Amino acid sequence: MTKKITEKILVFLISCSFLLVAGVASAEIKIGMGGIMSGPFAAWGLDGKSGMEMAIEEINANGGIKGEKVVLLARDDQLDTTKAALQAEELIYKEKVIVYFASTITGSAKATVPVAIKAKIPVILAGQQSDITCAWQCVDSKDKNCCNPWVFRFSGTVSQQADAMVIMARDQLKGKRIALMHDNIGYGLEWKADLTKAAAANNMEFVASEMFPLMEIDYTASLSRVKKANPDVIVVGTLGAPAGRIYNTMKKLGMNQPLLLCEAAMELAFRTTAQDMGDGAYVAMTQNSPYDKSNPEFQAFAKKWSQKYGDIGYTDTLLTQPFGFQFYDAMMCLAKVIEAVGKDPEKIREGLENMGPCKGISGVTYVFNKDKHCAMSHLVPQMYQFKNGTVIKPN
Amino acid sequence: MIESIFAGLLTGAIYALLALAYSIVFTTTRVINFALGETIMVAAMVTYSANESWGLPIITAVIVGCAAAVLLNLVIRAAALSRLQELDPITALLVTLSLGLLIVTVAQGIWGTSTAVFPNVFGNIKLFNVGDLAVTSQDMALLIIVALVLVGVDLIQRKTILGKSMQAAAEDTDACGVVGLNVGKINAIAFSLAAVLCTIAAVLLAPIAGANVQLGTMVGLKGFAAAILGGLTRGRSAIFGGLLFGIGESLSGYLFGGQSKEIIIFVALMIILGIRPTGLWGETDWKRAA
Repeated sequence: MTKKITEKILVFLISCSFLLVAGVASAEIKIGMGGIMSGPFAAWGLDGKSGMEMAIEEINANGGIKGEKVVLLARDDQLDTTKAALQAEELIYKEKVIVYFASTITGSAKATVPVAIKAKIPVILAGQQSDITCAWQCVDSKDKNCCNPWVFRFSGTVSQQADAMVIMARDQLKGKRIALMHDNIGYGLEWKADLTKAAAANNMEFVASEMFPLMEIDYTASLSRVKKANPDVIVVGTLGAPAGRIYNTMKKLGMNQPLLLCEAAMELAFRTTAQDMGDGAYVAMTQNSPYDKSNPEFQAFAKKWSQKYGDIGYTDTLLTQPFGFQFYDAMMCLAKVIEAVGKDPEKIREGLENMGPCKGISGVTYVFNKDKHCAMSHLVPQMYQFKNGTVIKPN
Repeated sequence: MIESIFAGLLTGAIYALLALAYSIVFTTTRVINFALGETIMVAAMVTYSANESWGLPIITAVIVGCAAAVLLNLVIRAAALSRLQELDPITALLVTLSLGLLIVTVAQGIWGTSTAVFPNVFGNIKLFNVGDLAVTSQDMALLIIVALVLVGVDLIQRKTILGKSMQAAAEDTDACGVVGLNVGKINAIAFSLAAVLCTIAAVLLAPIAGANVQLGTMVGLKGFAAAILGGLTRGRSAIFGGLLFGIGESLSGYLFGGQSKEIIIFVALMIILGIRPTGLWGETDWKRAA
């Protein structure tokens, strides 16, 4: 008899301890994230991770969300799409994340977004700009050209920027003979397709279209070919470092045409590779500039970022690029949604659609609704200019 | 077109340095050290840190960078390559490839992923034009230094006892031992010389491409291809291979577009190797009939 009672008490105590552990384990909000965090493109993942960490630090410092701590589970996919998909599955099915932030890199995002959709977990694209993963013009679960209802984008898109850039080249830079240069990876090829389409939509045609290898030391040959076409504006779709080398080679060849770059040139590598930090070059951005003196809150945030993440190259002059604080904004807006609706993924999905205007740290307002899953699609990219290492509105 | 040819000559000079480094290691040890691209990167990053973080004058920083590159190569030699001479060449090649990846991973942990501004030791003063292309003090320094280095190393290889000892060490290590040559020491000198060449390449390349942990990746493979094109078994051949590779690559880009640059030059390389497997000016092996 005593033995039976003892056994029952033991079972009861063990059960309680399991429940206690489970209870403790569930008292945190798990957010999953995939991205490239090593190798040549690591900055594209690390900037986003830094943005998330900064936001989560602030959220937890203020007591978390309804008293629960937010935990970021980040995975480095090393640009391996199979690995990225497996990691997404691990985060979703094993770690039970309630929201998944996909990689900034298109290939990895394409591999992981379907995993989240299948598991009915909201997936957020905070730096991923390709229309392939989520086209900004519509929301439809059956139409591949539209955003899936489970996918929410907090950044601008390549096509959105391309539409604006051809008009900037023509109207603001007074271009009549516009040349296009782009790199040979997926990103550059998408720029070529979207810029060409945007030009055609505006009854324009590029006088030259030159593709170059991304990891190239010298661009004399490519730029000599472009120069032969006698352009008066050059539009470039590529990452920061190659854009910097193109800038340098243009100087050597005596080419003084305005150079209009895509938003990727806001990464530090452009200003650290280009002579004079790319002084005079133009860049199209959907975000606001961290150098905008009329937004002291944003400036203070950008400086805090640069001090916190100085070991990845930021300084008081070379402030953060858009992708980092878009992740920050996305996490802060998401936190408000979770605060309002709780941790159920379906409710979070609906909550994001009904989020209402969410103001980001840069002053940009993100808006979603049932038919609009690209939070910046209502914004028109603006043209900025590099000046003394800063990025300002041109005169 | 003249601008592209000249720009190709400048790039080819960098490839020539790296091709020579591959050749020196190969002719002494019969092993291809695929971590030479990463040696360039380490030299550049250590030089940058020594100058920027530790405040050393640039020349001192370059010496520190060179010392780091030499040390790295000696560690590679001691840890792996001294044993790999007895293994088949494919295994040796794979080991050096793996070491290269390891070096990049460690370097990323130390220096991160950002691109730093590498000081331009020779300035950026415009001297004259070749066509529309401004030739700067940096460009002329590149050509002059590379010419001097290449002539110097070629003379060492062909005219000095050290150079002949390096060739002998690869031909027959036992015979070297019999005549009192210290093969280990000769190999160490070869690796050190290759590291010095990599440091020179780093100082000339990093101001153009920026100092980052992927610097070696940009030129490592092409430097090897250039050495194969010219002939891996002779320093001079590797040098000419580098120059030809750079000019050919740039000219292809000018004539057929940037996207074709690498396709054309590597297809040309395959065709040339099909006709002359030892490269355009490489040695052919002679066998005695009796």
